[in-house]
Amino acid sequence: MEVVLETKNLSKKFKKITAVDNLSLCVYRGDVFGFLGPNGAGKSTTIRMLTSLIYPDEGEIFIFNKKLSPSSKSVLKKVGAIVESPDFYLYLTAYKNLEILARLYGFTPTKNQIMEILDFVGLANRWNSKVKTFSHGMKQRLGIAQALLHNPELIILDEPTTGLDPQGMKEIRELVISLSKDKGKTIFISSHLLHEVELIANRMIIINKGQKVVEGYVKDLLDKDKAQYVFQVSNIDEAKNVLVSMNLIPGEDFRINQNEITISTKKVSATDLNKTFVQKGIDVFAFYPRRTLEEYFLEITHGQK
Amino acid sequence: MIFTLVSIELYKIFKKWRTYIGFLAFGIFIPILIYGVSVSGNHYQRILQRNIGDQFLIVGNLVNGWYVAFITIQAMIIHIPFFITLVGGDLFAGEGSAGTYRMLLTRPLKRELIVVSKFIAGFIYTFIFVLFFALISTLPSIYFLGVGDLIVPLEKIVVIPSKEILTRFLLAYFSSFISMCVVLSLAGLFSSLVNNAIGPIVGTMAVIVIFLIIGELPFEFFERIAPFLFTKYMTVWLDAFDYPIDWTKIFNSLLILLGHIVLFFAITIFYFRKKDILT
Amino acid sequence: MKKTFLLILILINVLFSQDKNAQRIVENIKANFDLINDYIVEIKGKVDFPDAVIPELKAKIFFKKPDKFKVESDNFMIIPKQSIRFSPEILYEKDFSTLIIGEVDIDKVKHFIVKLISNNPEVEEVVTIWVNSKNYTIRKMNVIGSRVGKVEIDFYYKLIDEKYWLPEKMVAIFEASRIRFPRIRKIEKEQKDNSDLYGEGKITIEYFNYVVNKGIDDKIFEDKKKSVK
Repeated sequence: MEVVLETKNLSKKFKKITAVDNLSLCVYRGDVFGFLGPNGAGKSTTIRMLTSLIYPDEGEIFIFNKKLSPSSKSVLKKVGAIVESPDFYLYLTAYKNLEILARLYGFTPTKNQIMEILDFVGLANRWNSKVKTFSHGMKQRLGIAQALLHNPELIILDEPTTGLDPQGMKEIRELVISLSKDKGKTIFISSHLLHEVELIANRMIIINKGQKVVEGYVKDLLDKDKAQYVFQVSNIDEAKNVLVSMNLIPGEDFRINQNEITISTKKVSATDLNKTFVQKGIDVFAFYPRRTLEEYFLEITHGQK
Repeated sequence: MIFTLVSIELYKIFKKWRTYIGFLAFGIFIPILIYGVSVSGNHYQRILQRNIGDQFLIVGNLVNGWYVAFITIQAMIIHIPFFITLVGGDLFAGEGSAGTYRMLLTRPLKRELIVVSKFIAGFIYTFIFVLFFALISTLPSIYFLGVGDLIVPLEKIVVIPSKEILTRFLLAYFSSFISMCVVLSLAGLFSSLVNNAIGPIVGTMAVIVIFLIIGELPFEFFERIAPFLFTKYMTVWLDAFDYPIDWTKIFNSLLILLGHIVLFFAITIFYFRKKDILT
Repeated sequence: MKKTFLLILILINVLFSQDKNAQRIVENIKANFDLINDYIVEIKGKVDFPDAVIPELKAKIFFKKPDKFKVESDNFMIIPKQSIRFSPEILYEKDFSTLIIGEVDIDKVKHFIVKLISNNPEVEEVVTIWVNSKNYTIRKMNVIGSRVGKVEIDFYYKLIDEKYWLPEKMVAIFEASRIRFPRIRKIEKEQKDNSDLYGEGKITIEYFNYVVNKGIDDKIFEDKKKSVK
């Protein structure tokens, strides 16, 4: 698989605060790569390093196998990015903003190309409006337009749904999926919303406090925890004994948290387990599948606190 | 690429309202000033007549378009830096406060190139502004009052023959342009350090005013400092009206001013090259 | 008594005859200039003034009897008023006294030294002229007054058209401190040494290409452009 984006031992400090700590990651061609972490985890700092807005103290960034540095930024021609909320020259029209920003890539777009991309993000009817009249959602879509206009191979999106209403978030997600499936773009998308990444990403990394927590295929991570169920029972100790008698290993196959038991194994199905608890006289108040990735994320990140 | 960048920067500059404040202010005020000097312009000739009219005949058109233009320059030139800093202070900080650094600097462009293009665009704006100032301070007054010799009644009375005046004015405006490029460079430097244009504008003006005050203080300590202040050389335009022209002095002053431009530009490049964009 | 009366008579006669002589000199000067009905001359002027730099300038003087004149120039210039009629203003006033105060040889020619004093109490300048005894031209002039200070003017003549004695050069020397050019506010900090202001100023005018008594249209004097009348 072709590596599109790779960081090696990336570190960045702001005075005494380490924002990114020895971070290595790898994005392959065609990935929709979720970049996850709670607020303040170092996502934006990493993305700013990937887009050369800031430079790492240590480590290296390779994009399409070319090292990114202050003196070598030409590889960014193949990258389109939105870093945080997209801001534009408010006193210029959407059209003029796109034209200027495209020319900075050394590419002079035709009117058709600009109108096409504006149409793609649903802003064709506002092409001649000054950006200062745009809502946040419209700016976000214009941001995507400017990231796509020069037809990049890698698109870096930094929390693209932040500040959007549910409908806007849905539209952006659909746009990302379309870019990946229909246009074959590699997408690096950061978010602190797990379900968002779960919905669109094939690979992901979770960082916390600037450090990598886990990296891999979303499917694998989901598979690992696929059989997770939460049981709320009347007698937690008795329930534990039942599980042990069924050869389930504490800490590995199940975890106990106050009056909840989280089952993390396929050795036994939830229905069977429910029956067994009832047969053993343990009341089951509730049992439900866990929001796996989200729980997983919280567990990991909270665990690190 | 540099041509594209400069044209984009110029487009941005001239799409902003603040760019036109100076043009508007001078466009309104200078004609009023010219009118005022014109209608009471013979004041100078009247005083001269009163002073020496008993014994001498005063020949020639003393209060002419050139004279009014000269009075206009010397009255207004001190205000040009403000309008230059309005644009210079916004060159970089404007991108910071608008958040557009995130658009601009994620492009495959070396930051040095961006600094160069912004400075060049700033210099072009400065040139256009000084050119506008030159035209508005000379053309109306010449149209209404005609030409003639120019009397420069400063420390020394210098009368410049009419055939030399155009050259002198061109030299004066060119020198002013170089002086204003220093102002722009300083504003540009300050602008690259922060993300709000107010600071660089106020900061640049503060530096100029403080340097001018220090340069004027009649104490030995300050007199020793004065030659090291760039503001001392910003009055180089006046040397264009000396007789004969002291080319060495003008050349040295311009060289020192150019040195400051290079210095401010180099510091901007050095700092901006690795500046962390956090806005 | 007789002797005393005789002495008084002689003294009166001397004074009167001296006054008559002075008057005659003045009449001769005027008569000399009366030969000139009109003239046009090109001039080249140079002003040396310690506090001013005024480059050499050119102009054209038009004069027509009795007192019409025009100085036409594209350039700025200051010239002494005496540059037009080559004589002090007082000479054309009606009420003034004259007194010969001596004689002196200049360039081996005898010159009368005549004092001209206005009888108008408001005019306080005292003018002394050195008059060539042969052609009655004013070779030298000295004006002293509280306003003008001291002005000395020298004329150097040449015979034009073999008939008219007219100056080819005039040099006026005046007190620099009396010439007060108005200034606009100071811009540069550099203080100028003003000591030179106590020196002398000098205006030199050279006259070329006289055209005498060829007639000048009065309209010339109406055109105010580029001129002082």
